Amino acid sequence: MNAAEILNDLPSRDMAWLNSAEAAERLSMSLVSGVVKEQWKYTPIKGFIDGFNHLPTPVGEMANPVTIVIGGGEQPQIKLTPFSDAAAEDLDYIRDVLHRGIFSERYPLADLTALSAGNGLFIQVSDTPEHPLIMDFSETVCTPVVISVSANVHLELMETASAVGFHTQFIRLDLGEHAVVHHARSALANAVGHWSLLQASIAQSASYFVQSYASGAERRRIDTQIFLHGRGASVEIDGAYLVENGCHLDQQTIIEHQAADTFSKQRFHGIGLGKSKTTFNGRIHIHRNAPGSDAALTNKNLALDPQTTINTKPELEIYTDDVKCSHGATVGQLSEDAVFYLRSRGLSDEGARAMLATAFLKTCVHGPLADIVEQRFLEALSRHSPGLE
Amino acid sequence: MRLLEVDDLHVTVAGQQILTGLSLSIDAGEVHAIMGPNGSGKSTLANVLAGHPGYEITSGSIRYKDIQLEDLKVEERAHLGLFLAFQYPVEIPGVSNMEFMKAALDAQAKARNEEPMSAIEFMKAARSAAQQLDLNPDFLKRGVNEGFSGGEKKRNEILQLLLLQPTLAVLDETDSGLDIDAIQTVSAGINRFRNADNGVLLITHYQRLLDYIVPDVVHVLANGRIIRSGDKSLAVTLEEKGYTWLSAS
Repeated sequence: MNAAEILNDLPSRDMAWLNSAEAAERLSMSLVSGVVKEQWKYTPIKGFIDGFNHLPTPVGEMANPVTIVIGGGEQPQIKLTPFSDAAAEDLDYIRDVLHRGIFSERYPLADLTALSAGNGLFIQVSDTPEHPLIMDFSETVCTPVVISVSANVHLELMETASAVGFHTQFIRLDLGEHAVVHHARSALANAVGHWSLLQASIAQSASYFVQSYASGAERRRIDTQIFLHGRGASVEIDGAYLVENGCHLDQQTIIEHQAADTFSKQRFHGIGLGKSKTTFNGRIHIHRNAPGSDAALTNKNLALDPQTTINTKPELEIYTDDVKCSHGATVGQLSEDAVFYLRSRGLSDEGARAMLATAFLKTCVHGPLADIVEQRFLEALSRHSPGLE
Repeated sequence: MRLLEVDDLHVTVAGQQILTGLSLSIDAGEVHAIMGPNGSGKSTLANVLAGHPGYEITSGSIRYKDIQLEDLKVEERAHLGLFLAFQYPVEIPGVSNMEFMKAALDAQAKARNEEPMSAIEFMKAARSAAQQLDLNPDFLKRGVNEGFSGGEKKRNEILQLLLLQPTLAVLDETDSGLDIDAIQTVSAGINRFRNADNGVLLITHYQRLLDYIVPDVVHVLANGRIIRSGDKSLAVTLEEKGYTWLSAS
């Protein structure tokens, strides 16, 4: 299928805010690109394209594709504007960040998402709100969300993807200088198909903390791309995931250290159960003009079944001296010494294994979503071993 | 009452014969110490009693409370009151000491058809045990053995002993890695545990521990079997003359 055919089959859409010809051209190029083939090696992109062509409701006809809740009711610090109602200068900004960032050869689905999206949401956070901003992607949606956080603002952001149908999430977050954002996110529903792209741009001395939790789905890919473009910008990501029998999860993170003295730390723990397929690819790119960068990446995986497939690959690309960069990726099994230790105190073999597996994930689970995430992971482990205590 | 009866036990690890006909009996109310040179099979005995899957009994038998122990799973032995204080306790990040101990107590109570201890009772018991061992109560909230010093790990083993109140406690080199003050604290904990209904098997390299926990019987293990048994004075003699004295005599 070529891009023209895909575009012809797309549901009704309003593309006034986007240069559709440009997007179509880029999509057409990217679908035949070797780079895309390599980057989508573990998640066949065709399944997603089919998903776009079989949306149950044309996107343009969806009433509330994304639910936004502002804790404590409306707050003057947070302003929500649909793209269609955005002022001309805001639309310029939206178009600019989308074209500069999300639309690239790397993310052909972003073009597809945008082309099929009826609208998008622009969220401006101009001052520190008293309550968190909560977003739930609960329906079959392709709505882009652009969030701009002004300088010195502190924001708590909670985001869940609870839709079970085919859906894409598309979040662009800009942190102004000295801004601090805590972002807890989860994708735990067994969706037919789910692609998520989180892209954050961090200005000077701003700090971004992410807690990212995911389950496998029929087809799920989560892309995270962070641009540390201001001096002293930092990001810390803790992630935990569990992929059940027959499920698929592909996570790709890219940290772009584009300025001096930038800091990134990523820690992901994951478990594969039964005949599941899990991929983690963590890329750290330290640009030429980013001396003093400090980057660390850890990805640990437990394969709890001989049929489990786990792929993990850290990638470092460093173009300057005077940087600190560490990475580690492992795939292993539970420690039999630890199982013996717990059993020697009276826990059953299954109970000991469940406790160890849960503990392994829990080291990366904290924040506002911790309780629900732990509960969901424990339920999944219990399904895998029905005799758990 | 006879708690443990080990008869002519032969054990291999990864195909290598370690225990070569070990016999030992422990009655309720007794403390037995096992000493012996490195590689003599002391830890093997401890692990076999606890049911470590890496050890194979090739002949002989172990009866515990008149039950054939080798037929039981690791956790079933714990449910019957057998406890091993590990020489190298395992670190388990992500599980707090409290969570772990409560789960263990609940599992044991369930297996014995007893009511589980309430959360409040448990907290009281755990805090009291920590206090007895000079451990800060915050210790209970930390991950099991996570980042503990060698001495803290050993004290944590004794904390578990005090909470679980087993019938037979096998203590595998609990004194190693402890400073003098800690040895006294840990010994006091073990002495508090001792009573007429339970038994202790102390595995140690040093006579020093036996100054604080006075054993009823001291055994010397060499080449996989017990070659000499005696009272506390045997440990003193060993400390003075070394194990070569035994092979020479």
